[in-house]
Parts: sequence; C-alpha cells; structure tokens
Amino acid sequence: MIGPRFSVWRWGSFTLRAPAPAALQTAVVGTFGVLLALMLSLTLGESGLSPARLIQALRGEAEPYEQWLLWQSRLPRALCALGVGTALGVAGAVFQSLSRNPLGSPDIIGINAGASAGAVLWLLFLPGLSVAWGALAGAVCVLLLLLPGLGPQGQLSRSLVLMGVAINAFAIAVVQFALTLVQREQAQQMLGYLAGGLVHRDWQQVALIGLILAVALPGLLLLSRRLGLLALGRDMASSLGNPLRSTQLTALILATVLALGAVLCAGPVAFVALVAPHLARRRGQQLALLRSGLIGALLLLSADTLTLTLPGTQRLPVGVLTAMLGGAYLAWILFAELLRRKTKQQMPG
Amino acid sequence: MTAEVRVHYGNTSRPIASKLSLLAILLALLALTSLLVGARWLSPAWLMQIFEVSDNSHELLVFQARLPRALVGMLAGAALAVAGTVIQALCRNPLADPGLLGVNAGASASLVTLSLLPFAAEWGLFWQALPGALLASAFVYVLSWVQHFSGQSQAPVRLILAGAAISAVLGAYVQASVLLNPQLFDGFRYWMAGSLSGLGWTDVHSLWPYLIPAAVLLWLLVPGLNLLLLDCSTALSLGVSLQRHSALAWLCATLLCAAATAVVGPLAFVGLVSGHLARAWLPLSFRVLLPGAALIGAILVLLADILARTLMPPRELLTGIMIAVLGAPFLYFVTRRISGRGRTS
Repeated sequence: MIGPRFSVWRWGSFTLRAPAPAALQTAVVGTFGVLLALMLSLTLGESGLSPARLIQALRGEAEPYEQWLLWQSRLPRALCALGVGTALGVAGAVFQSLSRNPLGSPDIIGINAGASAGAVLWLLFLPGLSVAWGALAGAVCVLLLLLPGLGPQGQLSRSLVLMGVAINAFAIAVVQFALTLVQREQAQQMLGYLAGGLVHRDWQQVALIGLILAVALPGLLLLSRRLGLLALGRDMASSLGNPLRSTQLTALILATVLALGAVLCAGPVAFVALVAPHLARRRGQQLALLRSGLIGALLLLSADTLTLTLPGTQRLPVGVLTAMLGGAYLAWILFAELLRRKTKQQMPG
Repeated sequence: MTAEVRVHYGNTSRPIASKLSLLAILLALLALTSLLVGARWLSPAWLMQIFEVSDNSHELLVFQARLPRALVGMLAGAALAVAGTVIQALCRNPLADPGLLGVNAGASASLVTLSLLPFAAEWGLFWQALPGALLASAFVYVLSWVQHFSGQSQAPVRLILAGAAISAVLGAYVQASVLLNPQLFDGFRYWMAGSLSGLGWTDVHSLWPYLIPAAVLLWLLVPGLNLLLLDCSTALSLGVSLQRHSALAWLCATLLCAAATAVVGPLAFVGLVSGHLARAWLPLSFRVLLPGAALIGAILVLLADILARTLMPPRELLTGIMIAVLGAPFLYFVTRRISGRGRTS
C-alpha cells in the first residue's frame, strides 16, 4: 500500500485504482487456495469422486449417479460453504471496524444467538416449516432490538455492542430453556442444527448467497478506503473529507445483509466472523475485507470437507469444526508470535 | 495509596456507604426469602422457633436443605461478579467476562473428558471440573504473556484473542463429544445451563477454601488495580509493576471463577452484568467496586434462584436461565439509557 497507485477509472467520488503488488499476490494465492480447497472438497470423503471421475462428471460423461452426486450434492454444498464463508468473513471485518472492538463480530452482538433462538422456537411451535425462516426471524428481531443503540452517525457505539451482548445472553437462555423442555432425541437434533450445517444444500441456496454477495460485496469494496480511514479516528476521517454518516450506515446495512444471508444459508455458524478478520489483519493492514472474506471461505470449506472425511457414523456439524480449526489456528499464531518475540528480546541482551 | 483513595471518596462518601448498605440489606432480605419460599412455603413466624429445641420436624429438614443452597448461590454469585469486574479492567474491554478466561470452556471440557474416563468417574462434579478450568485459564494467560513485559497498548487485544481462541477450541470439543455421546448429553445439559439444585454443605466447604484467599489477595492488590484503570504507561510511571499485578489479579479471578463454575456450572453472565451495573452505579475505585459488584452478583443469583423455584412449582427452572432472563433486559436498558444520554449531549 506504499506509494501512489494510478487511477484506472473514476466516477464521482469513487476512484478505482490499479491494485498494489501485495493485493495481486493475495489474489493469486487466494484463487489457487480456493481452487485447491474446492478440488479437495469434491474428491475427499466416503462418497467422493476420484479426480478422473470428477473431470468426466464435469464434462457430463460420467454415470448418472456420479453426475447427480456432483451436480446436485457436492458442488452446491461446496459453493454454499464458499459463499457463506466469504459473507461471514467480510461481515465480521466490517462489524469489527465499525464497532472498533476486536470482539465486535456478528456472533458477539447476538445475531447468531438470535437466529438460534428463533430456530429453536420455530422447531418447537411450527415444526412443519423450514427452520431457516425461524432463524431469519430471530436474527431480524435482534437487529430491531439493537436499532435504538445506533449512534447518531451510524457507528456501532460501545453501548450498542453491550446491548448486543445482553441480547446474546438472553437468546442463549431461551435456547437452553427450550433444550430442557424437549426429549433427548429432539434436543440433540436441535443442538445439531444450532452448530450450523451445510448438509442437503441445493442450488437455490447457492443462488441466494451468490445474489447477496453480488449485491453487498462490491458496495463494501467501494467503501473500503473510507472504512480504512475510519481507523484513524472519526475526527481525522471526517476532516479528510469522509462523509461519516453515510459511510457507516451503508457499510452497516450491507454487512448486516451479508450476515443474514449467511444465517439463512447455513444456520448460525460460529466463530468464522470473529476469527477471519483477525487472521486477515496479521499482515498489518487495518481493514482487509477481501482477504478476510477469502480466509472465511477457506475456513468454512475446509471445515466442511473435514466433516465429510472424519470417521464415525455420525457427522459433526460444520460449526463445531470451524470453531476448532479457527480457534486452534488463532492459538497457534499467538503462540508463534510469542516465540518470535522472546527470541527478539533475548537477542540484544 | 491513601491519597488516591481519598480522591475517590472525597465528599461523596455518604452516598457510597448508603448505596452499599442498601445493597447489603437487599441481599439479607433476599437470603431470608430464599430460605422460606419454594415448593414448600414456610412462615416467617416459624423462623423464630429455629433457635429453640430442635424437633426433627419436616420444616426443619426443608430449612436445612435450603440454607447451603442459598449460601452457595451467594458465594458463587459474589465470586463470579468480582472475577468479572477484575477481568473487565485487565482486558480493558467492557465485553470481557469470566468466560474469556477460558474457565467455563475448560470446566466443561474437563467435565466431559473425566466423566468418560473410568478412574475419574467417581470424583464428583467439582473435582472433575476444577482442573480443566485452572488449566485453561493458565493456558490463556501464557498465550497472552509477552505484552505484559513490554507494556504495549495492544496487550488487552492479545488477551481477548487468546481467550476467545481457547474457549472456542474447548467449546467445540465439548459440543462434539456431547453430540457423539447421547448419554453424556443427558446429564450434561442441566449443568451447562447452570443449576443450584441439589447443593449441600459439601459444596459450601469445597467453595470457601478457594474464595477467601483469592478475595484477600485481591483486596491487597486494590491500590495497584486502581492505577491500572488509568492506562498502562501511566500506571507504570506511577510505580505499579504491571506484570506482577496483572498476573496476581488474573490468578485471583481464575480461582474465584473456577471454584464457582465447578460448583454451579457456567454462569458467566453474572460476572459481565454485575461488573457493568457496579460501574454504572458506583464510583470508579476498586475499593468500592469490588464489594459493590460482589453484592450485586450475590443478589442476582439469589433472586434468580428464588424465581426459578417459585415460578413453576413443583418444577424447578434452571437458575442459569433465570439469571440471563433477569440480567439481560437490565443490561440492555442500562446501556440503552447510556447511549441515549450520549446522543443528547
């Protein structure tokens, strides 16, 4: 990000600049990473296709069963994981930047817990309909409750985040209460849904998350320079000619749409939105939207692949594995940094 | 130290004293109520007879069952609240709660693991939960170690990240093993929500050896902690050893929180709420904040327990759920009022 980058295209106050070398590098690495993860996700697992069969199926020359497996089961599932992961990563980055809190991700302010509570109540009272709508209703309720705490300039103030924490606790209590009300089998089924899942996804959901990404992602990327300026402090940002209110409100709405889309497609998947921005920011940039989305997508897809490959009769929900993978990776990064700092401290002495 | 305390007390010492005594009176009333109400209601007049010759009446048995339960509730609530207040100061983040220490996740994880192992199956909940809670907290502390030497402003972020990472990994482990072992899940879902039912004198006796030393040590640390409320560099220049203070405060908070969690289950929300309510209502000095938060935490847990026992007799609701149901709207409206005040000014 050092040095001026010439502008490619300019419209009103928006300027599109040539990408920096670091961004290009990220893009290349990211593309390869996503392709590799996609390949692995399609080929691994009990009912996975061998690479040769995969190519045949892609060209439409395989047996009908494998054709069906690829086009109706594995591919939509993998694409859904990619889309939801991207949405969660980007939404988490925007929420953390707007609330200026490393914990201010959609999970912490109660969107996930609200979705869980909505889903559980839906399962209790309206078991006939799809659970996703209950989750959506719960998440929307949480957002409505959060609305009064929105700052005058659309920022996620500290008290709004705290209100989110309160709502989060309340929603978790509702979920736990519901879990104690029902029989064991039903409780376990609920618990399985609550960890988020990507089983039985079809093209409808892929289209949904794709549409949401297509709407929200370009808008957020156009805003990313302004959001980055916000990290300097609100006064500095507005004195640099940054319309605070419109920037923050637009970013908030777009990120919320992303988070809701993710809930609708995969249920409350924990931890991706919290951890992806932190991992993305490791290279020093304040707001790494695209990288955060990329890491979220890779995290979710690899966790989903792991659920398919792990032995055992019962499949774990993907949310359990995202928390495990993401948490372990974060812990490892902290640990590596610890070792590095220690050697650095010892060197001069 | 005395000068600093006087600055906080100043000429407002009377309102503080009256606020604290108000809380104490409320707590005493609640404790009395908690002994009398429940599936079997006792009359206050009966209380007068308790010190007379004991006949093994039915009421006396009920009373004997309720006394340790109320005591454990108060002790655990106070311990969690104090731990929450300290952690919020150490992390410099209002969202921090004792769960961030890794204590809750660690306690759950070791409970799940040890109850599956044959040799540890007889240990009882407390001894199954405690080692994991202490280990997890120690691990989080080590992961966030470096910054305590250098005193950088980024230290709290590191602490938070380490806590979130460890909690997530352990929580996922618990969720996975619970999903894979249905019989485990059945006994576990009640402990997970936090419950005070079935507690006896043994629980009181396993609780206090951890709480009292930690509370005393924390009280001795108060002057340094007050300076930590400023910022790291100011505290350093005023002669506070950041490393020692934060390590000792961390240790105290861990002991308080781990012992309480091992007995009553993960009630982390008590710590978050009472820390906030104390800071919204009392002056910003740990001499006042710690007792205030302890009283608020004890009140919250007792009130939740009373409601849990009386709302749906003869069934008991889970105390942890009642705490969230009571505390969450409270926190919501307090913070909402604060944000509204910020908007007008």
